[in-house]
Amino acid sequence: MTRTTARLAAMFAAFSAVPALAGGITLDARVLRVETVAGTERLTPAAKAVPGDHMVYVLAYKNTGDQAARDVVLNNPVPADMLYRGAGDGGEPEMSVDGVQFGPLASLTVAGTDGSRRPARLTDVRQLRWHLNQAIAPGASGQVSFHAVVR
Amino acid sequence: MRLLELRIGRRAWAGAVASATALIACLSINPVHAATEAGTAIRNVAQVQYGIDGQTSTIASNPVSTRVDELIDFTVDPLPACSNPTGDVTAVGFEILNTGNGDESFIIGEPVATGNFQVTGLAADANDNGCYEPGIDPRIPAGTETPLLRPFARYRVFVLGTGTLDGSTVELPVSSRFGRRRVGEVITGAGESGSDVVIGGTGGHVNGRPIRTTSVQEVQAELVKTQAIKARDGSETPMRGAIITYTLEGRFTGGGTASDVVIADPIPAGTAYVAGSLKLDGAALSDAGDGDAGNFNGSGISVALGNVPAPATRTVSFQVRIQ
Repeated sequence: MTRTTARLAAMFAAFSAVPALAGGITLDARVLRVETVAGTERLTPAAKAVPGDHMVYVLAYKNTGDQAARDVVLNNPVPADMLYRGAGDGGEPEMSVDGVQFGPLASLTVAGTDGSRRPARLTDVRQLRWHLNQAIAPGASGQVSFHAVVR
Repeated sequence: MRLLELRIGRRAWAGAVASATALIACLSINPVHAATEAGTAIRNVAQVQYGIDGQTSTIASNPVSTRVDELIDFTVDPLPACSNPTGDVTAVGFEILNTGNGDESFIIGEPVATGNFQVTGLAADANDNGCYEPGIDPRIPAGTETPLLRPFARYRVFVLGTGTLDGSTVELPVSSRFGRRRVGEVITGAGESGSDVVIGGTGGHVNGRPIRTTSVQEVQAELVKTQAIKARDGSETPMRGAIITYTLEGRFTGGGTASDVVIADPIPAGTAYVAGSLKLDGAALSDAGDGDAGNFNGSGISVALGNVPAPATRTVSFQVRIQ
């Protein structure tokens, strides 16, 4: 009985999704679905989707500490089964097709079927990285976002 | 044993007899899309790295998860005509393709025909070869539910009837197991792995595209093989050392173009290919698999004819020596 309770407590700790907090910056992730109603795009929180749905991932950061945070870098792998479609808020991220080399899309290549390399396409992008130019003052917040489609 | 072969596009006909007749039509190959399987949870966790007071920290965001629901989508398309004997029955094939992202079954409705074609029933393509074979492909009643089809798996069915297809249309209505629905309708919990079902753009019901059969657009192909034996003594006796000249005549009639045509024939057992004897329409072809159309690969010859607009006759010949 005691063991069961302890295990449940451990599971609860693992699954309770509170924004992580360590020394001042919090990072809150959300996913929204782009719905077009009468020609107008609308973003709605979405726990469910079907292939082809257009989603927006939003990463909201906030400095809850009392000192400025510098050299802030946000990292987000493009989730498995999603195809990257482009940047949203917060400017164009650096992109990577292999998680090693980052840069603008035009600087990236992937191996073609015949062994030669071809220019990377948005759908080849597997990792995104945003370097924030400015320090985040205590209490300040912001967000970046990217668009992707369910494969 | 496969004695000779006429390949057109991705289809092949082989005959153990000296001639083969084939009705040609384009085989449409549907691209396979790797849609995310219903029930999949797409998870996302971001990270932020930052420095405060010279100390660098990295933290992860909360995970967000999106469950992929099951989209009901499928197509119903006519199959190319076949030339195999079907007795008094004419068969029109249809292919049901599950273009959704979950395992689904589909309900085959009552076929509808116009013109001089009278529907007499339905049959399942038991061996999935796209051609109705009486005695192999069982009759099924309208309303039959297909087995569960994996995403991008297909089920082939034949509308059987009598009369002529010339100028007729044959339509096969097919529904998902959820029936005719509103596009975008959600059926909670009815999908794979507990996901919801979302009715795709077909509204859960497709009328197999009506076909209009016109003889003008179809190419008829026939491959006729003949042989001439010449023995050393001048006779036509098939004795050791005698030379057999095989002639393969591909006859293309009707209208339209047969695409990617290949005539191929293995060298018969007990004989040896006579080097340099391969000819197309009387002109010599090289034996090597090089720039020209001909090739001898050690066990058989093949001649690639490319696209052949009908009407046309192309003649391939080669020689073997009896061992």
